[in-house]
Amino acid sequence: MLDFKSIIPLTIASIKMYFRDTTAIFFTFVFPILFLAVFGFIGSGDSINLEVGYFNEKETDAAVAFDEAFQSTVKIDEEPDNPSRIFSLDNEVTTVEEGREKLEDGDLNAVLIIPDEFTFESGGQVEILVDESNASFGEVAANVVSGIVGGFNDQAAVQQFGEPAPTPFTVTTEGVQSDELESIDYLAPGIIAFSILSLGVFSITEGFIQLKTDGSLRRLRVAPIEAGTFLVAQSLTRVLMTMINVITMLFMSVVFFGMSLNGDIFSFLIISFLGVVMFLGFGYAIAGWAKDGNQAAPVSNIVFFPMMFLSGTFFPRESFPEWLVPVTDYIPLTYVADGMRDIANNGVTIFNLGPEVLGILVWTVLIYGVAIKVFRWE
Amino acid sequence: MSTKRVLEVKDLTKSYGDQQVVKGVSFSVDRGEVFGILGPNGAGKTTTLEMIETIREIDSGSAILDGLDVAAEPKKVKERIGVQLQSSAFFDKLSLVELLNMFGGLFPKRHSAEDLLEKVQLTKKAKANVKELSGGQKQRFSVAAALVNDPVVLFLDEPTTGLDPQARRNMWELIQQIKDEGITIVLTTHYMEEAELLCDRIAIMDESEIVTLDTPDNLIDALLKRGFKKKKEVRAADLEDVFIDLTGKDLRDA
Repeated sequence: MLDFKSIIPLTIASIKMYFRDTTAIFFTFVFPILFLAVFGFIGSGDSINLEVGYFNEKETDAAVAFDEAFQSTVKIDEEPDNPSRIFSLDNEVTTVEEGREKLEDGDLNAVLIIPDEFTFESGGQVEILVDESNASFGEVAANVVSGIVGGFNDQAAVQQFGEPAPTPFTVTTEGVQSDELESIDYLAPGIIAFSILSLGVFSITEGFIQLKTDGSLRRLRVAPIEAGTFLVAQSLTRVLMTMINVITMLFMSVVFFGMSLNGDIFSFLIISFLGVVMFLGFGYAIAGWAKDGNQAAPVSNIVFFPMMFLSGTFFPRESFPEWLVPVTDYIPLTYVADGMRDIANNGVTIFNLGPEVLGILVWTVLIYGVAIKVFRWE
Repeated sequence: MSTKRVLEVKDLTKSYGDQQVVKGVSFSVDRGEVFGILGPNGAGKTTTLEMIETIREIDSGSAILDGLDVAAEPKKVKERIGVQLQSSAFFDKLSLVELLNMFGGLFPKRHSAEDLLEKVQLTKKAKANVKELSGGQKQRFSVAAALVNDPVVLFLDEPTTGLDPQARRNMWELIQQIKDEGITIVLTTHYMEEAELLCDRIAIMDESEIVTLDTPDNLIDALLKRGFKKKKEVRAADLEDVFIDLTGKDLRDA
């Protein structure tokens, strides 16, 4: 039975303790940000310049005019390190199919196709294929081309009719799923999920076992509170810290490293919350069972490292051996990382993440069951 | 005030595996009394106390505290007792005031942190951490923490073990003062001088059982009556008197 009146003083005390613990603060705030920064900068080396495949047969007057406008806008002739140069053309691709394949391999950021029917008389549709896992690049490509087409529309119409006409030229964007590795859009959600895992597991196995071995927990037992009340207070603190951490990292990813957050932030926070509650369960199961840090450390590492590597935090799971992939579907961190990626990259909401949420809930129930079973006060 | 009897322990037993560590211990404590439990290490003193304090399960027997069955109503019992554990630490990174406020927040009725610190002469250390305290200060703080809920019965497990003679005398004064406020005290100790000075009655435990229970005076008289004589003639002073005479009673860490 929980005693809500007692949760307040315990939580206040526990938050104070958290903020005075330099190690905890380092791992909550500094470490994840450093981590993000390292990966963010590695991934953003060539982010300004997009590699595009460009298909324009230039068989109509309109196609030729578009080509001129396109070439001058994106400044393809500029030096590669000139910031005004946005696109690099990949001249090696000769067919649309080839372009699509390169996009899927992550060698291209976008493919731009001017169709054969592209005339001032009937208009036309510019097609852009973009790399879905790298939504920010795709967006840049789409925006640039939309801009050209918009201006081009007016220009073309004035030329033809003497006044701006209803836009005959349009742009369609098609997302193509690629295996792009060094992309902040892939990495950032993974790193955020990973930091939730490490906060959940290690803040409990380190902090809680300390209380257990130094006798502070014993001292609390003579107070009229249940174990559950104390654990809730401990969890509240860590959930709060984790949410601050998630918001910080999300902010950094979006503002400094150009991650695109296509979904809503609330969905992202909800899945973070579900994730941290689940991972705290892992922490409690280990810390509650272990007599001291020596017993806890190997177990938490056994939980931590395989989970980190197998859940596709840093490498897409598709690159694993085929037999391993279905197994990794069921790893707790996979649900969190995939869910976050889906929200950030593909713009889905928490309500579309049924399987992920269900997976997290099932693990949560299981692990808390284990934690309650093996918990010892001393 | 209710009945005179504040604690009634009957046939308390506790075993770990095959080993019985408390064998049918019975005693009772009156309101306002200081009751001492003495005995060599491993005699079962601490386990007996911990069963009464609700932090160790009672195998069989019963303990009634202030009219409440300890086994049946541990939560209510916890609200009425103050416990100073032999081996316990306090959260580091919290100051004394913060710790007392936290503990106090867990009880329905409480003393203010400032009053408690004043009572144990730690007002100056209010913002310090427990780690920064000397042994005597730490022990006094742990008494303050045990008093936070204005307990009916205060349990002190070896409150003066490891303290220097000055700090020990200071702790005695504190215990005396708490007694004068009408709080019943149950303590364990290895120091006979301390038991004789503080305790109204004592129980001596050995090999998991109470071997005798009476007032210190009666116990000494009974021994003398059996014809006991000290091997060495007792002098009017001992070495501790010399030490205190030379170094004074003042606390060194105040």
